[in-house]
Amino acid sequence: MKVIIKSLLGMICALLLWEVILENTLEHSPGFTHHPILGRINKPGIAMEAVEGFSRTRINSLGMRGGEILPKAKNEYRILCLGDSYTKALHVSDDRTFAELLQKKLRSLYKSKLINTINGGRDGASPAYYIQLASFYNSTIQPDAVVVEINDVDFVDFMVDQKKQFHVVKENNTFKPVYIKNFSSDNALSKVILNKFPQLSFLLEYSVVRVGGENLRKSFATKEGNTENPNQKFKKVLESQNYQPLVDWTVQQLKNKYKEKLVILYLPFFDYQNFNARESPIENSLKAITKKYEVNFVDPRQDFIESYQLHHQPAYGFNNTTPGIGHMNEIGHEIIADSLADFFKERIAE
Amino acid sequence: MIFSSIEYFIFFVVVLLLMILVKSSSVKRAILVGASYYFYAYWNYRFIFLMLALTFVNYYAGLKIEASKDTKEKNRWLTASIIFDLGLLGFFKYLNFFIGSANVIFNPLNIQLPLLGIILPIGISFITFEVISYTIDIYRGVNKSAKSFWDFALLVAFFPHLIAGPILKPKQFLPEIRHDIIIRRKNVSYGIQIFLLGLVRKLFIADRLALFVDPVFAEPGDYSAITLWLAVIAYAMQIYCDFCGYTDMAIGSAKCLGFDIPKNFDIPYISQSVTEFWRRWHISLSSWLRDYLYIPLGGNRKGKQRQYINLLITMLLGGLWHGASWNFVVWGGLHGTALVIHKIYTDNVQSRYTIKSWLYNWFAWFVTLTFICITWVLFRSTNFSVSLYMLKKMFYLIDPVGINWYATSLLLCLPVLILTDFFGKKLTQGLKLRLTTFRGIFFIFFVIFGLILLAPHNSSPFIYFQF
Repeated sequence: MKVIIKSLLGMICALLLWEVILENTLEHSPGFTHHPILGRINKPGIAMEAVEGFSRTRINSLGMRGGEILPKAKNEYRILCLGDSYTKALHVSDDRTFAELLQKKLRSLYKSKLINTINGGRDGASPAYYIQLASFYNSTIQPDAVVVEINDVDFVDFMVDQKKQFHVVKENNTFKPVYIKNFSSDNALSKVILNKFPQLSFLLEYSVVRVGGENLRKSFATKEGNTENPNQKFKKVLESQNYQPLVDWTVQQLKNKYKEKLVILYLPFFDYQNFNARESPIENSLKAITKKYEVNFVDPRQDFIESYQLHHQPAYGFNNTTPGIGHMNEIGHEIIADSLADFFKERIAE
Repeated sequence: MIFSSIEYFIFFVVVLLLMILVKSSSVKRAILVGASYYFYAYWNYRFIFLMLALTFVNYYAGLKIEASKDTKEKNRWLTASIIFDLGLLGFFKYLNFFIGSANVIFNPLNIQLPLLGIILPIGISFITFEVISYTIDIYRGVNKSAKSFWDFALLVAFFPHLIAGPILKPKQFLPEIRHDIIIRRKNVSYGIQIFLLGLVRKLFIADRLALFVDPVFAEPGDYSAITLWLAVIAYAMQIYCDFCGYTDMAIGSAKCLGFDIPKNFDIPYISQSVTEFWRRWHISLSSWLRDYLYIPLGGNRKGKQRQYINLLITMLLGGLWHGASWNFVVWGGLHGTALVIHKIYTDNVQSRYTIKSWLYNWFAWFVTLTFICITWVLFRSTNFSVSLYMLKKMFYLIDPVGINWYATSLLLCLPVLILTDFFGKKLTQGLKLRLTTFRGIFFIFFVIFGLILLAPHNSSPFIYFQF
């Protein structure tokens, strides 16, 4: 009995010590809360990320990165940047996200106008979110321009993933947006705890449970000798299906919701070993379809290539992961901000 | 089934429980032989026949050598067994290398021999050296033959050391098998601590550094010279923690089962000469090469010049033992040359002038470590031309431009490596936590949770498995 008590005590103390270490150094999430319209969002508080890059940031009451959104001023030009984790960019510091850099660049160009950008990035979000939440964003934030960041993963995975709170399903020859009202989580571990043991949901507040649970799940899921490159796997899926109808529907819906304010920002993925690899079929579709619906389209592919050829530094990946793979680093955000600033220069001047 | 996998954990717990439940030592030996063959068959069941053949032939040769009164007959049996062992090793490991090399030589004559589709049996180099040392020891009269076939089968197949050593000395291990095998709480507690130390080395350091080393060595042309240097340093740490971690886990597993496996590493990167490095790195291989190759070649008994040649031959063959590639031959040749240079230096300079200062020691350490790191390039690169390309880029002989990757894992792993070496030293010196105390339990859980939280989840196979 004594040994069992000692073992339990030893285990709990070890867990507590790791919790303190994780909370103060590597990983910290403010957790999640339910918003009546936005659905499951980050709780207001402090967030940290370390798996890729590092930043320490504040989450506001809309679950967005940054401070609270103030009522719109008279001479304010407000740009809302919607997107997924590439836009939210917990991997780089607050002043290095493309939303923040864009604001800085535009403010230096137009001193008489109050230019504000709002980082509306949300982990795992897709156009299915921005389409269904358009009226909320338009009325609450009142943007003058809406930058929607889109990448291949949106169409291949996030948008059609039925485990997401906002997604789309195919219906006859078109698509239908779906919103899951009683949504718990899209994370496997959180889902199990929230659905099967709701009384234990407080455990998800602890970093040791979140990080440890996720690592254990991945360890069990990883089989010995399974060396298939995830990028190649993704490429195979990407090239095996026709995404044109979904891209067409998405652009049309976004245009209907955001009208002339809409700017679609495409994030190209690169194989840094092979720049001559052809563009993704989704990128080509987006180019043609945005033209068809007269939607502003920004594709910084050439800027990414030129930057790499000049500096030999990839725009994706970090020193604590692999350069060239994963989320965008500071270089990538700088390139995006430059591309968007070029676009907005003319627009604001008008 | 690698030591750091869930499968091994389950396998080991089952074996340990069986060993606790069974009373008879002979049944325990049978369980260990069965478990060891299962462990080997887990990779490829067909190769257990190869291991059986090696075991049977060498056991029989050992009996014959021991029974022979005539030296010529002893010689015949020894030669036959060694030819059989090296023949198998040569066929599985080196045949394609020799065919490939012959094809390069005969290329101007338009002669091209086809390469054979041979699968390299895991751990064959270690198993071969193990059985060779058994018959040679009997021949030399250093050791007697095993009491039974199963004792010898256990010496060869004992799963903790089966795949990547340490190469056990039959003289030390056979008597251990003959003793009563008793599972003691003290041994299990100590074994768990050594195993965990190895797990930290493998999962936290080696596997994390692999995420940096692998992409850089795969595409060295993409990265800058400084990144290549960092990757080489990272590889030096990775291979040490990978192999030393494996050995720790082997020693820990064996200790839990009541066996003592000698240490294979002794903080090699603090060496102040290449000679010292080989006394601290892969000790079981170094001593095998010394006892069964360097000394039979004449060692230092036939004059200085012959000693230098013997050193060079030993290291060239030692290099080739690691892998069938010119990279390993050159790697061994460079280490052999360094050993010869150091020997000449100690004979002619160090023996005449006493040089003792911290600056000298520091310089000797720096030069040794730099040399070892540079030679790791040959060890890790996919082929000789890649090694040359990397070395040229590292020394700015070609355009050094490329991606700068200042991998944070290197910075993170260095203090952990120092800590594990410190605790490893303390463990061998007798510092053991009692796992029934709160301090012991807390420490064990802290390490286990740390591994779950911080180790990368894509565990890579042990580097030395390929040898």
